[in-house]
Amino acid sequence: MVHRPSAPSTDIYAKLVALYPAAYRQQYGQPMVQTFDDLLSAEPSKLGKLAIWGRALWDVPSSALKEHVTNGRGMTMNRNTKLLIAGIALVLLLANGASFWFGYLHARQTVNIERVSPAQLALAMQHDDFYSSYGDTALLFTGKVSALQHENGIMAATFQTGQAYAIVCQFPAAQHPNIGDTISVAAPGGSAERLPHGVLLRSCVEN
Amino acid sequence: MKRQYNQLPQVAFSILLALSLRERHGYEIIKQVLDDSDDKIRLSPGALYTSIKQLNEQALVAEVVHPEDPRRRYYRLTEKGKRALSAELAYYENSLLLARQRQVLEASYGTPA
Repeated sequence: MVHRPSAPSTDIYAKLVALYPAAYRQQYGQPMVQTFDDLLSAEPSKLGKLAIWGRALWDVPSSALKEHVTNGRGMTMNRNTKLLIAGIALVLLLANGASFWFGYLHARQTVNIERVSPAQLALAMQHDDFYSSYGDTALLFTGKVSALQHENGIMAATFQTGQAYAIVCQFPAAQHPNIGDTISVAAPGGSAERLPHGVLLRSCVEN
Repeated sequence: MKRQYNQLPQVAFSILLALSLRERHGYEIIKQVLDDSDDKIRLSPGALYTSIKQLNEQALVAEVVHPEDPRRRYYRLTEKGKRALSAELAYYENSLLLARQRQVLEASYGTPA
C-alpha cells in the first residue's frame, strides 16, 4: 500500500521529489516524503517548519541534479533529460537567490540592529552574557575570514577576534566569502550557539 | 590484502554510526546523526537518501521491512557495513592516538572528561 501524505505541505514536497530520476524515485521517493513529513510533524514552531522548507528548497533540486548527473555518466542523455537538468539548475539558481534575499530581509527587518565587533561578540559569549545582550538583535559586524569549512552544503567561515573565542558564521555554500576577505556580515543574534572555542552564528548574510 | 581505511565520506560514516545500535528509519537516522555530532550535522531527506542509496549499492546497509511500521523504510547495518565502520573507527582511533602522542590536540579535545 502506498502511503498518501495528508498535510498539504508534504504534498508539495512529494511533487518536488518528481525532480529525481524515475529509478531513484521508485526506491527512495516515498521514504523521502515520509521522512520530510516526520521532520515537519516533530517541529513545533512555525519558524522551525519554515527553516525545514528552506533547506528542502535547496536540498531537493541539488541532490536531484546530482542523481541525474550520476545516472547520465557513461550514457547519452536524451533531450528531455537535458531539459530537466537545465530546469533543475534554474530552480537552484532561483532558490539560492530567494534564500539569500529572505535571509537579508530577515536580518534587516529585525527591530534592533546593532553594529558590533567580532571581539565584542566573542567576549560576550566568553562572559556568558551573549544571549542577554544580543539575543533579540540583528548583528552587523566587519571581520576578516581566516578559515573556511564546508559541510552538507553549508560553508562555515571563521573570523578571528583577538580573543580566546572565534566567530564562526554559516553561509549557504554558493554565497560564501573567501579566506582573507574582509567583509561585513549580518546575522540574527538569536541564531547564536556556543562552540567549545567560539560563537556559531547561523543564517549569516554578507551585508 | 592490506585493509584500507578512511574510505567513507563524513555523512556515510555518520549514518553507519547511527545504525550501529539498531535498525532505524530515515527520521530516526537524522535525529541520531544530529545527536552524535553535537548538533553539527543536520541531514535533510535529500542528502540522507542520496547517501543511503550509495551505502545500499555498496551493500553496507540493507532495507528492513518492519511489520509494526510498514509505512516507513528501515535500514540496518550489514556485516560488510559493520566491518567498514570498524575499520573507519580503527583509523580514527589510531589518528587520535598519534595526535595525543604528538600533542597537537587542543585541550578540550580527546581528553576524557
